[in-house]
Amino acid sequence: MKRRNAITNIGFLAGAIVLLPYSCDSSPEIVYSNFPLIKKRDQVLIGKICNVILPEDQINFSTPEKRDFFVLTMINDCGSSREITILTEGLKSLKTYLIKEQKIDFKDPKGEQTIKFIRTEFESKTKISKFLSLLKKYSMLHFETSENYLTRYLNYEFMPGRYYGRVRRTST
Amino acid sequence: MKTVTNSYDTIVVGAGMSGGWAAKEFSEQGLKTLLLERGPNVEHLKDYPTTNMQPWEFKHRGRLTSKEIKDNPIVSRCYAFREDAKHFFVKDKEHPYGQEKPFDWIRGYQVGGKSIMWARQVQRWSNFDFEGPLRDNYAVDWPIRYEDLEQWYTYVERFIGVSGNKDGLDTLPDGEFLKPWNANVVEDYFSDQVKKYYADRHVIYGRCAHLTESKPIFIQQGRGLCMSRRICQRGCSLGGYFNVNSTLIPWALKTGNLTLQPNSVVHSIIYDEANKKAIGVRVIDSDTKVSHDYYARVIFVTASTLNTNLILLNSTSNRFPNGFGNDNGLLGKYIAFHNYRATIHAEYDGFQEFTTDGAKPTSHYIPRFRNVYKQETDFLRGYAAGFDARPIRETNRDGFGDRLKSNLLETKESGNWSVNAHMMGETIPKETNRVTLDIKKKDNWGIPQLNIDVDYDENDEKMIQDFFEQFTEMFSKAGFKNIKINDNQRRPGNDIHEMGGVRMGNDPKTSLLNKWNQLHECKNVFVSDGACMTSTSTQNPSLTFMAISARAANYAIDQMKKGKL
Repeated sequence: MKRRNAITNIGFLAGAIVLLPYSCDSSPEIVYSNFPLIKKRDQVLIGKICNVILPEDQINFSTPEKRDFFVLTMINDCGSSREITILTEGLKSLKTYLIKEQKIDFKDPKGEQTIKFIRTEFESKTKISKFLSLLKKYSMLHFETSENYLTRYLNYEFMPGRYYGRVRRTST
Repeated sequence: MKTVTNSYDTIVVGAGMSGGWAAKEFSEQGLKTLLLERGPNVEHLKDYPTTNMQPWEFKHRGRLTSKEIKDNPIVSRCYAFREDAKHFFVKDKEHPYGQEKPFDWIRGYQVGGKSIMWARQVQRWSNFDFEGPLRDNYAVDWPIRYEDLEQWYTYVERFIGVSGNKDGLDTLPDGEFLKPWNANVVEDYFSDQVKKYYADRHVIYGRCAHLTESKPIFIQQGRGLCMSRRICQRGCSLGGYFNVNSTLIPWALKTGNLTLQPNSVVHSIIYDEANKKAIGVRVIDSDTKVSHDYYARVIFVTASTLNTNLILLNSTSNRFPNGFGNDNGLLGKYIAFHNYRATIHAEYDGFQEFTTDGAKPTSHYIPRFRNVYKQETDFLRGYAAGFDARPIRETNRDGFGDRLKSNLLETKESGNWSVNAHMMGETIPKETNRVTLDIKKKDNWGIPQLNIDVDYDENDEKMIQDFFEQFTEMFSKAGFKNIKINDNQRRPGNDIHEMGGVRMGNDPKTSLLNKWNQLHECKNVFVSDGACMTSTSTQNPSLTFMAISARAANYAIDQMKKGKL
């Protein structure tokens, strides 16, 4: 993944010189077998929304893959048919909404309009609400299985080599 | 045709725990031995592809894909069939079988068999177990008692390494133990509470096949101490737990007497009508499907319980038209297993000031306490149970954005403990619980598929209810709260403790094997895996399989030396 990031960055630099048209994201388009109609543009949108729901932090909580790739891979490979329906129908509803009602680009994850939209939709009990909850579920899994979270916050050790069963808490 | 290259002193069919022990004993004592395994080789260290992978390195973070679950409804119900170890399990479509009633046949076709992925719990049987059928009038009397197996338990334990406490219980004899891991405060507390309220019930450390101390024998084996990684099912690069691949196979190979031949599907045992004995086995190369015959003076069939039944049923001749050694028609019958359907969960709000540090690869164990000294319930026999307690961690997953992240970072132990127990019930072997060959359906090697007809009965249902009642009472007396019972509806076979079909006994009219695991009707064929079991008791059976196998192999060696085999 670091290699991919490096290539992306090279793309940005090169793009500045040769004016590459896709200066915002040079990663290749991925076709997910269970939702092949979700194209690059939609994948980017999903990635942005995931980032609003739970900000990706590759510096402090690095993972082998980017958030959007992980979330979509998990839904594609491991998700139930219900989850795949929630993804596709939720995305469709979201896009319709965005075209008709509001033009939110989710570029700024802390933007007032973005926050308001996500908060409102999470509580809406609509297809968009279920869609956001699905993205949240796998975004959290991505975050909670990052090396730093596992080791620093869940006390994960690869080779503990010990077990103490009567350890007094330092604070309760 | 018998030649120098296809003739051995002994042939062992199946390179799992039982076969591994027989092969090791034969090779070590100078017998040229052919160890046949239907699956591929799994070489210790070299063939554990996921052993050093971190959780975040798995594409699906340990989960199965929807397609894998859909394609493998049977094996995906096994707790260990996950992203990290799925390559060691037989996939449903690769080796289909018939089910008269639902039965999850969980298999590992490779050198090492299921010993790579096993749960590593090892308890000895006592005479309460060996004398059970005679006392309670089911199955047939075991032809052996604890005294016959005691030295072999010790022999096996010293070689594989078993961590445990000497508990001094008549129901669960002590063994040769390495030091145990610590208990935690709640495990100790529950143990004390049970002792306080019940004279005949004990909560003890779960004896497990892990190295907690270094000894010369383990250094010779090239094995290191267990580091409590708790990912044993992937194969351990340290050799910290016992599996056949790290221990028995390399040991046997070092003698120069063992020929390990993977990818060899045994079709049948070859019987010499004139000399009235078995002379070899017919093998099909799993890749080329070419058939070869191999010859030996003694044959050990240890292909795992149900496959051993299959091979014997498929070994027909003029002398044995209904299956090898099957004069009494009982081959394939009296299959039994362990009833794992009942679990109980609760919380405990004591010991808030304590937590745990590190990890351990075992939990606690409650030996059978029902119907031990006398019949006291309206069902036969009883159950053992696993028990564990661990701190409850709470994570607030509300919100989104920075608030959600902040919530996740504030994850912490609540101070309460989660306490859990699961039942391991003895099932009664019955003639109607059986396996047969389906002559219309053949596998990829032209061998008839196995048809499995095994189910629970009323005794099992009553036992489940008793477990719920007794453990609810025990948990309540210990002050555990929010007690929840669960019948998980696990299918027979999902316990991965199937046993019987070629049972031992004193009488050739009612059993297939004698007290040395020889077929009554053909003394140079031995069965020393789970198929030989007359009853199941409640203990995890692998240690007993290994002890029986080592004992039988040494008897065979003795008889060969005397020229009697």
